[in-house]
Amino acid sequence: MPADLSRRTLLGGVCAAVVTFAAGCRSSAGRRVVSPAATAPVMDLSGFVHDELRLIAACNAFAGQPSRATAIRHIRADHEAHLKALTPAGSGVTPALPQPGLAALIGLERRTARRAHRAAVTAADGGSAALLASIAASHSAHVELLS
Amino acid sequence: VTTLPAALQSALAAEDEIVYGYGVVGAHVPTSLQPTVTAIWDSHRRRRDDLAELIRTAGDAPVAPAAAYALPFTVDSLATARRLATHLENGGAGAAWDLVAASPPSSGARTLAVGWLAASATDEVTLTGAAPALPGSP
Repeated sequence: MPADLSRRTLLGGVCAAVVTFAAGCRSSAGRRVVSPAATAPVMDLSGFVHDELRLIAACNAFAGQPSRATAIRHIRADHEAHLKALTPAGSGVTPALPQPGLAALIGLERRTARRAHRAAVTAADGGSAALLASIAASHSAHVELLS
Repeated sequence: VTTLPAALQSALAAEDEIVYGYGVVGAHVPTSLQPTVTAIWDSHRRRRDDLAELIRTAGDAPVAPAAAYALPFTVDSLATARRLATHLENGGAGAAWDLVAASPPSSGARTLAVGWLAASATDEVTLTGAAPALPGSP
């Protein structure tokens, strides 16, 4: 990569129009998008709700290394956030699971990531597609974190 | 309401800034992390090229990058380089979220953007050890 990049950043004041970068991108008028397919019926997300419930149960029952406890706590909180995004009105009953080890939890994250990823590609309504893509991304990040 | 062409241009503008920003990140990480940063940097260059191609295919002209960009804070250490990487990936994830939402089902743009959202989250974990619960969400 170019060696002079860090020096060029000192010239920041000359490009005020792009100063805010991501914050600017995301707060711009274009940030809240509505899909051309926004009129499509919102897809049934119940299968993904069930995936999140299974993952929360897996985190609750996790019987892996104690050194992973903090990571598992963060991951559980992520799945609760996913559940809340999928079911703004409330959630279902967390299923009971046998105590999973690390490999089982990683496997579950990976499988549910693939399922959400595939559904995000084909979803008719853009809002569901973006939410499922984000959930798939988070599950993939968990795999990376735990591997 | 953002159309697909606008979402593509916004994502391209974000990737131009990310490619620039990773040059700064790369200048402040130890040699051991250089290959990782370089691989991520290359992936964003590919995203930028893919976006420009999608825009040209749609009959539009890709927005030109700026010569330089101001950083949101001073980057002078590994810790601040990691913070910048987080900032960059969150920006890229936001642009990918918008592109997923604006693109038709099963289109090339949708398929790429879904993959980019996941890549932003895993790259953020690789460099910083954490990613948001809902990457890219507004």
